[in-house]
Amino acid sequence: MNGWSEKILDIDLTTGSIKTYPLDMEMARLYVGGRGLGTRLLWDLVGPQVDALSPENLLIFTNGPLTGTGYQTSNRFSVSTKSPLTGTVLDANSGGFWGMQFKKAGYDVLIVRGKAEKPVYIEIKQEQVRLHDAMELWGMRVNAVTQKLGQEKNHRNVLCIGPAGENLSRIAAIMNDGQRALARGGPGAVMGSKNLKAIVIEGREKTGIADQEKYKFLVYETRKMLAANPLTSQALPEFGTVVMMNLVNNIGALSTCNFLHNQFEGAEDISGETLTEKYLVKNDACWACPIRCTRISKTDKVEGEGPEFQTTWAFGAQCGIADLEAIIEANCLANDLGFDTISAGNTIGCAMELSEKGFIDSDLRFGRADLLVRTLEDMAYRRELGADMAEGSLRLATKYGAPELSMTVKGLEMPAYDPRGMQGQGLLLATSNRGACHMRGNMLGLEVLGLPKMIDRFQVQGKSSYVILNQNSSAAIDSLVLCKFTSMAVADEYFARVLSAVTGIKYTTGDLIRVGERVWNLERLYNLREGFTNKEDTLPLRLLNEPAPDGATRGWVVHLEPMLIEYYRARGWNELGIPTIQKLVELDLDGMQTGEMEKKR
Amino acid sequence: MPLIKFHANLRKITGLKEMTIQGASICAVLERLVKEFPELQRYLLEDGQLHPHVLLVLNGQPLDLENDLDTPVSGQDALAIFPPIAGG
Amino acid sequence: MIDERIFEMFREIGRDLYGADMISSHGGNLSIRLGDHVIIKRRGSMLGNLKPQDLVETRIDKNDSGVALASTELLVHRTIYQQTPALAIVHCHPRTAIAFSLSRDEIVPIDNEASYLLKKVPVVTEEFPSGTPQMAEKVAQALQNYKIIMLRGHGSFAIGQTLDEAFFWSSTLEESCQIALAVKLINEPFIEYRKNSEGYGKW
Repeated sequence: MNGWSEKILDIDLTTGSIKTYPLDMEMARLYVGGRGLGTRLLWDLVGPQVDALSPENLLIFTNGPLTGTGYQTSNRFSVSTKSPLTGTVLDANSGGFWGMQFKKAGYDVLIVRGKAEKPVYIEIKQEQVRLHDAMELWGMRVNAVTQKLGQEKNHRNVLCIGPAGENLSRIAAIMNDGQRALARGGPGAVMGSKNLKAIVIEGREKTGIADQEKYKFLVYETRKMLAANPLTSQALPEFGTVVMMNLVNNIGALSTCNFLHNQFEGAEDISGETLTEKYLVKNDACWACPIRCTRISKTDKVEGEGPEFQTTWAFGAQCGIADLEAIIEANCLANDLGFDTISAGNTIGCAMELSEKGFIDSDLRFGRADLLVRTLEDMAYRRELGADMAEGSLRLATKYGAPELSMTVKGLEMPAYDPRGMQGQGLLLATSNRGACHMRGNMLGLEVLGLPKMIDRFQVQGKSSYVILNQNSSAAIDSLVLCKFTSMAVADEYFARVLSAVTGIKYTTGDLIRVGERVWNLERLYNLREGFTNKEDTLPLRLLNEPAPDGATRGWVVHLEPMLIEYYRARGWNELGIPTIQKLVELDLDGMQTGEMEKKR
Repeated sequence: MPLIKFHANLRKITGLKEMTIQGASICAVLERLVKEFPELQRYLLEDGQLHPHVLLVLNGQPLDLENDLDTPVSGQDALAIFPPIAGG
Repeated sequence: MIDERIFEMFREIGRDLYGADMISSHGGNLSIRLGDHVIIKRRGSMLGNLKPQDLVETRIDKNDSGVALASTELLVHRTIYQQTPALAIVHCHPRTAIAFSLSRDEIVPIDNEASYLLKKVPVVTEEFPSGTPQMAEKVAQALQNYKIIMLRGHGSFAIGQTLDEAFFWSSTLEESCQIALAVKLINEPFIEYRKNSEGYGKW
């Protein structure tokens, strides 16, 4: 058994049954692991009739054939489910140590079904799998639970939800190793709806490697590449991701105050430089990672992991807040309560605009850093306005009569990057299968950093091919499961060869990208089956209609329509954004269409 | 004289967040900078050429390093210099 | 209407290829993928001296009016775009690399730069190495797993996200082959300076 453990662990919380059975290896060959495998299983097991917060929804945790090998960044794992926030297919992945332990425990997949009558937690020690009563733990915050259950970095790892997930906030995250998150799309609420508080895991198995010699060579070459590349060897370890703040702001693509502006006066105050200067304790790393992009920051009140660029933006520029200390504290709290920080911060910014314009009666205003803590707690415990905010910004804004003020795509809150200043990014965010997401492809490299080459960020024609390659490649990496920062220094041809060396199955670079394309198209089919159409491939009206007011991006809106038309054709889809039969056959997805899609053809 | 803004570790090297400097073109400005802060050399230049990972942003517009080095600059302009950086 | 910036890109790379002696006056080819279209050199034009009217745009999957003017090698380029993640293709005739391709099935660089970047360059062979479906298939197949390959006696095909990238691989290969040729001339025992170098030949 090389790469894969070839085993699925299937736990039904309603009946208490615990089963293991073999992984379908033909499926594994086509979908590899992580997001790919999770999506494929989700397609089979969770249909359109299932409500995301019902016992019939599943949590499908997956790792990949590379996980646990020790290859650089082979620590990540994934969860697939139907999103309670968007209703789309959802996968989220996370780093830290839990993923490695998950693989060591001897499973490729962990399926959690049903709903426990009373709060429970799962304990997995290799073949020994037990359900424990979690009444005592219910209500505890993430750090406390993680400690209580015996978190020990390399040996015993805890995955859990906090009060946000327990109270079914649609933007709740599943946290692992204390401060890592499976965040976007609200998987924490799914876990909460099952009365599942935590999963503790211990393992000892080693991942089998088919061709040791080739594998070792690839590890060596990867080490050289990571060390030679200044992004992975200097920028990320020294400054972390927040170093992006000044750059993105400078070009006028830093969304500010709920996207009313695209440049923020306070950017410098919440920049990576300021973080390093004033609040950084040290950097840190996930298992088997030499890049060390993690920040450990400290203020008078808190010390903890982060904040990342997106979080700093979400509680910062998005809310008009230039107080880095308050942002650090909000980040620590959000992790402890178990929130997706991007959605949380974005929703708070939305609430601020709703409040300023009189749609809501509240003291929330842009710049009110002093209200961050209280607001997050209100959201976690569903107190007052927090109860509506816990539903995410779209439901919030819709309830109070101004849905156009929610900065979301398909219901998922937008990350930093005003696409009026990055046209290709606009296309990417509009077409992402889980909603507005910068981690399912990112045009940052091409449109801002000049990697591998600077492409005009305002150019519209021809952007689609870059976006598509980005999305496919990203999906492939999510299926291995590796960290995207490696892909900044290491080309896909290395990943294809590592996969081949570990599993003993030959994957060319083209094969690997095709895995990504397959996964992307399957996700698309899933959403189509759920009733999504090309109408949802869009952006907030503000970005399509209101010209950006600031800086070098002034005057621009996103010219989505022509990019979208080109995108559908380039993907081999019809003008309604439905994959053609020919494309499905090419990707071994024939037989997956539903009757509805046939009619639309 | 154009305004130069330094970012990330360039601040440590120059000890400054920003400064004004003489120079009629991007190229001239960079040459002057390297003269004034010799340590900048290894971040800005590689084998006598502009380092491929350096990012120059002129008035909010990222420059194409191959073609834009001769771009004229004046006192109205702000040039931000970023060493290689990345994020999410 | 082909964007001026795109034309500039083609013109510069074409000029650089000619200047580096990697193509003859009318040889070689460049193309990029834009969505579901290909932009490629017009038949009979000179890469070293491109004019705006020398670029043709046509569809990736089927013929349209652009096809009449496009290069005879359009089929190969189309096939590569359909079967690989390429967004740009540089096809040129690097002299020393071609010479090496005549006596081996793979070129394994011995210089630092090329062994780091390319590791190994396979050589494929085809009886009528110009414009046939068989040749297109063979080349596209090989490019599924390598970013640059040699077509024996004919030239190199390199792919990348941009023309820049593909040119980079082509230029690196030729440089590497020239170094290897010099090594043969010098004819002294090779001192291995790279760790794990056996891995390159197995790439």
